[in-house]
Amino acid sequence: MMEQENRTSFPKVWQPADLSEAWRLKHMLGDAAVYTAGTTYLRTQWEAEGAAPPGHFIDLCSTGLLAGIELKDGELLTIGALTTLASCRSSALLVNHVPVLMEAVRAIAAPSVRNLATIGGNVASTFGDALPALLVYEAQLVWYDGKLLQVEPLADWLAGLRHAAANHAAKDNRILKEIRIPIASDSDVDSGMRLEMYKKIGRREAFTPSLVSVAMTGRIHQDGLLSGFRIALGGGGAIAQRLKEVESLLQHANYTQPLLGTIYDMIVENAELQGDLFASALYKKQTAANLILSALWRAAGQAGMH
Amino acid sequence: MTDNHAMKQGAPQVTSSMISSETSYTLDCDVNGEPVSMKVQPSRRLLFILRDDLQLTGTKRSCEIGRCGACMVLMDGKPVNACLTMAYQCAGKKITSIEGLSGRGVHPIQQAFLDEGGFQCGYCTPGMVISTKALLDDNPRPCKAEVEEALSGNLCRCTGYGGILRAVYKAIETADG
Repeated sequence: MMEQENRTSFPKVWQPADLSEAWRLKHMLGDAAVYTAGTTYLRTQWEAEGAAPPGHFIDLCSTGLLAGIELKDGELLTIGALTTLASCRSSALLVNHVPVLMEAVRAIAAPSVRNLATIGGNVASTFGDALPALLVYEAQLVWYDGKLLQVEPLADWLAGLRHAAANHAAKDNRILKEIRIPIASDSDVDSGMRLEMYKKIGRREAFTPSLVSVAMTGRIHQDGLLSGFRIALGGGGAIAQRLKEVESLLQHANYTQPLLGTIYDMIVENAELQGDLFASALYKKQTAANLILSALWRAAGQAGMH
Repeated sequence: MTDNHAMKQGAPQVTSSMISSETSYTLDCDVNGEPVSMKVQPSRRLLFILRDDLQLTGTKRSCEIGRCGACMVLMDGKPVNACLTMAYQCAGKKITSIEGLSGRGVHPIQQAFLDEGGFQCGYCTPGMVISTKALLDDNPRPCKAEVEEALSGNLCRCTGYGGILRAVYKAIETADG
């Protein structure tokens, strides 16, 4: 028996020649159209979550938008928005310069999905698991707004998303062109042991949507001094966020067991994680706090603190 | 840039290339070593092109959201979920389904699954074999973590994975001679 695809109407596919045309299409077709690349996440929305499929795909792969990863002048890592997650996963540049992002990519979906899915799509989804990792590296986004390219700190874009969600603001029709990550030179980095961590907790061991994802970078010195910590949370549909209060507390603090308790309470209080059908907000906050504390505790042990 | 659709009523006034019409879009690709040229909706999924249009039913339909791996095929040698991949994404690509893996014979990876009992109901097996093929073509001697990552997109509800992992290691040994 034939198993015909159950579709009365297929989305129309547009393949614009460049970004300008893609933007004009989106401007004219409005909410009926979506920008697409790998389309892996988008498809789950209408296959698994009951949403109606969009009327139009605007395929960015035809625009000449660049895919690829480059290190420019030894200080700026650029990742084209159309770079597949599989290309990220096999990138020596990511391993060497942004290992937290590499670990995040490894934890996203499975190899077959990563062969289609793009880093730009993961970011543009607004809650992809790469976002906490990109936040701790203080990534910047390069957007095309129909006329010009704009560079925007990822943190600002995420803050704008929170504001827009709260105020039902109009959707952003800009096209993500590139992700930029500033790379610290050796002279910028003080001594001490580097701590670089990404952890994703889901309901399965592998290939699972996240309940919580945590990214952290920092340094622990032999005398117990902590420095340069950046910590970000995301996962489970939450908009990724930096934990600035915790970072400030850790800056130039000395590692102690009581400090861990203070941090735990602060994370549970400040983390903006919402409950869902599978886990309460408190569970997610406590999970995030435990992940951060255990990573600090392990690193302190490696540095001879206990 | 040309477009004979753009001036239709309701269509945006741009000179873009819309490829949406089944009567106007032709998918040209290679399936199991044979050239394929067919009129198809550009957003039709590869899963249904293989199973319904080309009668290649070894590629299995299951979750349809890229989670189970039963529909795994190779696209230019890389594993992709046929349920996620649309016709226009296959243009100019080389698609290999389970039927194309070994022609008329049994591929050494398939033989390893037979030898080690790497299946029970068999529904996930074509996808498992395809993912194993992609792994070993890219990395002939993978470590345990690499095997587990390569198969992380393939679910099996029968075997508990023990037999499948034995089959993969057997395939590695066989390839090593």
